[in-house]
Amino acid sequence: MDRRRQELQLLEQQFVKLSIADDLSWFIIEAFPLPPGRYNRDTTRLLHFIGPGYPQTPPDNFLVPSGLRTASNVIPASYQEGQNHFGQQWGVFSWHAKVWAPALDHQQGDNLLTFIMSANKRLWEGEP
Amino acid sequence: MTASFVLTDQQWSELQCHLRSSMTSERFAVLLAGCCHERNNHVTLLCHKILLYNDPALVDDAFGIQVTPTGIVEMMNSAIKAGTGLIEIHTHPGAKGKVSFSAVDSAGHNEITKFAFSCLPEDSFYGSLVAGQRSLSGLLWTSASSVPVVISAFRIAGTGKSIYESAKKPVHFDENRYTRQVHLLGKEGQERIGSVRVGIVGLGGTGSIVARTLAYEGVRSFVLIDHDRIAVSNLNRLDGGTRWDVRFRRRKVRIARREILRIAPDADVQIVPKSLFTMQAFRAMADADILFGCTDNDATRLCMNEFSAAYLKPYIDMGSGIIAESGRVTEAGGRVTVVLPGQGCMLCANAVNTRMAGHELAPPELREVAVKRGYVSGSDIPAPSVMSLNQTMASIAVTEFKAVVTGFRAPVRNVLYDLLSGTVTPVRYDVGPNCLVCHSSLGKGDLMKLQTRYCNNR
Repeated sequence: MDRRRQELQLLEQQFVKLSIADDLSWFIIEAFPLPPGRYNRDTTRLLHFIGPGYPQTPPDNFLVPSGLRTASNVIPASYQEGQNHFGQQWGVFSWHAKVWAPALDHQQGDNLLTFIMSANKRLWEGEP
Repeated sequence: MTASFVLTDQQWSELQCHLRSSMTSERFAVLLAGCCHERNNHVTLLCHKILLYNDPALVDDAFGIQVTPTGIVEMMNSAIKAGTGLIEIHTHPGAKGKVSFSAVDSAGHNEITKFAFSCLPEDSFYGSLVAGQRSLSGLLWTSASSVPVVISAFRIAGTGKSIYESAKKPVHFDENRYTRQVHLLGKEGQERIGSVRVGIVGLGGTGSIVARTLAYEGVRSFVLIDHDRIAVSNLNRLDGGTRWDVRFRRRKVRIARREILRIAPDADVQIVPKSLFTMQAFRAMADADILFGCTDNDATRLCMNEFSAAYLKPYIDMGSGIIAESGRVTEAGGRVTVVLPGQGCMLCANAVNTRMAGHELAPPELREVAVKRGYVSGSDIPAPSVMSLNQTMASIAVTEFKAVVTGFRAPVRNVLYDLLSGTVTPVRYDVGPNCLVCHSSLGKGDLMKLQTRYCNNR
């Protein structure tokens, strides 16, 4: 089975509402939980583009619909709006895996799930 | 439909060693294989992995060797797990002339193909090979037809070296023209150079020199891929480029074809004036036996590296660069990396900046973000480049090409040239233990769907 599909199955086990492109070039987690009281939303759509060179190339960035603000109504750190995808405006969080070491077994080493978990950590624990 | 079978030199050595381990009793192995559907309804089968079978998966009785039911299930499961087709090979050690399947083999084919297509994925295939002392015969079944296709040629990947072909076309070369070269390469080596189809991606500073040099060396079949047109700033190094070409904004592939044909009017030169990331370019690369990567970006390197592994095409990549600060050169030199499928790749050699490749391959909107943040260069400021450095790197690359194709010596797999110190350093690399390209993509051909991945939205 395609390596990307295997890794997307790992995400499907974690997130019930997951939309996946037919060509596996992107996915959207429909109700990604945000830390309560930290942003002006409790959940958000989360979009990630899977590059054609993945998993040899590390995943990079994730996007949320435009308008995300911190509880104090400021623009989150390392976040920039102005992206248009699928008829919707998105903002992009600059987020990179510091080390990227996928293994032969997709469940070992780094994969799309570990990347999204690192994004989750950034949203919950990083600078808002 | 016609069919041929390709495997790497290393795979052939491993297989031969097993098959020839007995001159009296039959030997058996299973090849997990991908395929490449080519023009003219030809399919090339590509070896992904070899499973050597010994007792107890085999029963050797009066009718020859037979695989036990457990052994059959094991080989089907291996193919299903790898997502590949399956080819079994056994020997007839007594066959001195042209080897053929026995009546027992043929009866077995009916049963095993039925079982195989009940287990393997719908678009899969099953092949059967028999090896004699000096010949090979093979049949291929696909789910689309119950009538098998004869596998007519067995070749070593990228070398023009034939293991066995039922009707091999002779390759002739002008002995007077190449008399001094034959001293190094041998007659057979020169014939192989004349028989391989070479794909060159990037016909700029290094690619244009590689193309002309190969034409002088005796290559007669080319695929040239580059979407770019010549600019006046290329005239310091684009081999064959003229002011007239600049005036007419000629495509670099057209200039390269013209220069090749000046040297070798009989050469077959296919040009693809498109980006590598197009279906036309992928189809053209699939027709080549060996590839040269002469571009200056990591996305192309990453893609060609994976293509090389999946389609078992040896790949020679080169790069050169000069870094100057305040008018002073701080670093200058180049690299030539020889990728032999299955023996380590550009990623194992650390010769690709995967993060940069990721930025280069990102959707345009996200690439812009990376440019703004300074992760990737967005402007087309010409980098310093000189012809003598490019010629050095191209010459090393062509010498390694001859080593791969003719075997006049073992190829040096990674060469670094430091222009400032004038030193050439070979650097060793092996297959990375977690390299997905070497372990997972090898020989899987069309199954990797590289065209779909890399060419979509481009």
